[in-house]
Amino acid sequence: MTKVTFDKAVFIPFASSVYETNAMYLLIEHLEGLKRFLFKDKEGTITRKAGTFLSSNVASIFSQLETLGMEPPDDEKQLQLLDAVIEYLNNMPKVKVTFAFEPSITFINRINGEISKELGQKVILDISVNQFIFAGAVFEYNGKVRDYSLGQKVDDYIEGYIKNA
Amino acid sequence: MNIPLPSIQVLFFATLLVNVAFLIILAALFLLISKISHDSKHHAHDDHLQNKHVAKKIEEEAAEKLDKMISLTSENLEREIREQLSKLVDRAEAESREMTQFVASQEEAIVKESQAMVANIVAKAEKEADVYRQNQIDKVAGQINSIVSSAAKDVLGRAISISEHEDLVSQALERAKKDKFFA
Repeated sequence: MTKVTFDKAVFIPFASSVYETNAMYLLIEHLEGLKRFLFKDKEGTITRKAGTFLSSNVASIFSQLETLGMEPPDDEKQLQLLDAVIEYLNNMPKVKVTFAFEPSITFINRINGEISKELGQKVILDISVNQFIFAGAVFEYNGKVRDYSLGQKVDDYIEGYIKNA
Repeated sequence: MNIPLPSIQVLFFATLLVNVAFLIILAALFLLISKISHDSKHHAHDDHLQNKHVAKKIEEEAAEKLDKMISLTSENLEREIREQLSKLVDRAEAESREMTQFVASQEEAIVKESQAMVANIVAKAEKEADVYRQNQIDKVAGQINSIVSSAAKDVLGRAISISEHEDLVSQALERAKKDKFFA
């Protein structure tokens, strides 16, 4: 089996379509499921083989690649493409963020954009919600943790208030 | 060989004389032995009587001395026994007194030791009870503080709107950038 090296531009549309880990794992699961369709018909593009299985956004990405001529023509190389995309997604830098509230998708996208810009590369946010941080955020990246929440300040304030009461 | 007749007669006569002489000597010896035997029997009887008398006397003296000796020994023995018994009684009394004192001192020591042990146990139990009570108080106080803190945070948290939350996160992100956290 010939190992194909893909241009990084192939992965960009997939990486750009996800902002946080849940969406990323859903996309990976979708791509894993897509592999089953690559042996039904030896000829043709992925969108033609997978048909209605593809979600609209994934179908849009593959259509874009097909238009640009970046999708390989045969099953074997298409499988390699899917594996390469999955590997790329799994290896994307991840920033763990803890909020005190349930953020909207728009807000997640905005925060992701700002952090990606700061790091100079696309990142995936691993978001968790913990009401005990009260407000603000806690960031964890590359083994470092920094608490920018109000949780400790509120704890100290309440503790002082209880002691003085 | 032919011996002449007169010689045979002489020889016969001489032999006869010798035999007669021998008989006479034997008779004399017999008489002498009989006499000696008779004398001897007579002397033996006398010796026997004398010995019997002497033995009786010796026996009587020995019995008398033995009685005296036994009497003296008995007295000595009785006196010695009385002395030893007296010593034994004295010693037993002394040991009994010592034993009584020892038992009394041991009883006193045991009582003191028991009292000290009980006092220690009571003190230890009181200390443990104090520690346990304080721990429980601290635990309850901690739980109360935690409940109050959670309730206060919950109330305060609900008072913050989504847009305020988003603003606070944006501020946090700006601080992280300033701190070069993502660098």
